[in-house]
Amino acid sequence: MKKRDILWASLALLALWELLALAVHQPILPPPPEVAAAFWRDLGRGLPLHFLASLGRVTAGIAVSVLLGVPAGLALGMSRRLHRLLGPLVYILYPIPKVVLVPVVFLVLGIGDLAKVAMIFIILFFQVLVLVRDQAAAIPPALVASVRSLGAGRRALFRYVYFPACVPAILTSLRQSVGTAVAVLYIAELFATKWGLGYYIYFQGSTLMDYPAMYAGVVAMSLLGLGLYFGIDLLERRLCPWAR
Amino acid sequence: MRSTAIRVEKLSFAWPGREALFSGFSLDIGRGESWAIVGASGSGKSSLLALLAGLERPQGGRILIGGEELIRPRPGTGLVLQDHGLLPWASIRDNVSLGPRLRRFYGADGRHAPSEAALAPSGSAAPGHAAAGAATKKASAAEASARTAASVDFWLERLGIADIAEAWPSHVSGGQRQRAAIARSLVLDPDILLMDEPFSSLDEATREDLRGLTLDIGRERGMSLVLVTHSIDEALAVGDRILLLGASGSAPAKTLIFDKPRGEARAAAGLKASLRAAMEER
Repeated sequence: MKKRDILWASLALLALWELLALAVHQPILPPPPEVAAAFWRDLGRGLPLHFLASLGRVTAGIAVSVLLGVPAGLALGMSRRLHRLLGPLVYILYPIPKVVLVPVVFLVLGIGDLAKVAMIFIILFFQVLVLVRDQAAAIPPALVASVRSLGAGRRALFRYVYFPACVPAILTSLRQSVGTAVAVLYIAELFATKWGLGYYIYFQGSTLMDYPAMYAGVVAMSLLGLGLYFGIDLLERRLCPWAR
Repeated sequence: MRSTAIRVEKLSFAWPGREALFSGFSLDIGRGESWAIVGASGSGKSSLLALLAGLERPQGGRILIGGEELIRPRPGTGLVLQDHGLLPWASIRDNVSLGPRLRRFYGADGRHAPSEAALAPSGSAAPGHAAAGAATKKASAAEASARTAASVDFWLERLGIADIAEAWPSHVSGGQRQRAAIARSLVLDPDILLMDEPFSSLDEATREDLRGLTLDIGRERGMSLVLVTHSIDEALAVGDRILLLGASGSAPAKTLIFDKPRGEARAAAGLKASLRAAMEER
């Protein structure tokens, strides 16, 4: 996507918001300049810390899901025997909407940061695992055979064939699920925390009734999601220039 | 006197759940000889090549290379496949240097790489680059790396792909990809080069050009070449000897070996007719 197109789309979105705000003309939908002023004001009132708390949780969730999901996906993709054994389990668990597990995770892991990160992990883990597994299983046998003929054993195949082949799948899986992860983060941050954009949005909107500040939180959360999305996109361009 | 490079002794092999492709099959391939393997689809041409490459294990009998039983892919055997098998995420240069990198990855363990630490690949054996084996052992990692780079450059140049060395495989032609696959094998200085229909997806002119170049290099370096092909013309162009495999499930007694007559066009035409007739019979 070109930068110019993104800029135009952002301007169009702001214009639409402005028009809607004019049409509704209620405090519940303040116009963009009012929200921008609240955003600017709250930059000095802890909004960056709320942003960092959320960023920390979602980054930890992404890191753990990649660290566990990639080896698990590669193992399932590389070994037919393992896939026969564990494939059905993944088949059953993958389609379950993980958001419904929020209460279970809070019951089991408590209401602290661990549960919040675990929730993001559960959402991303299966996405990473399934895409990496499918990518590893789809590597042409001729490619594996020719690298084996050069002397590669299992370790070298992992290092030189399976892992690099799966990098695009890892990034695609993250890009596809980062939106859901941020949405779940919002829900997770409604409970038992005083830091995080989820808490900030809820507190400003429901307790203080400061709608411009609430929208400033929404904008910050959108920026968090967009930033992660663009970051993954950038990583893909840096790490997989051959796929373009 | 003819010395044996590859000896196949009473080989038996079947893919799981399928009829036996080979049963008590034996074959001797001499050092420096060029063999072509032809046969109908499903006759076991590619399976035999996979067995000779050590990628598959026979269920009976054994394969000896240089007198040693083959139990895994051997560092001195190169393999070139129809689908080139290049890493899409690595440049042509990185693909060509993959073999030396794999050898460094494992070290000279005698299993994945030659035990004599021949980490300096064949560019050093290229004309004007004759390297001393003992010196190689003492060479620093930087020197070994420089030698690898020189070898890679040599083969990129020799195969005519130096100008596309930094390109991705998906950005070059099929012929250039196949040249890169051949260069990748040659960098490791193999004494045996196995090829499975390496030229079949190329256009006529590229095919002939690359076939000629491969044969020239094979002769120069005294390699034993084994080429699997479905084309009788290609088998005649490449093979000093031609192995005709029977149809799937047929007895190994139906396997025939033809020696290519040298220089006589009429005799070659006669052999072509015999080969065609034998293939149609199957």
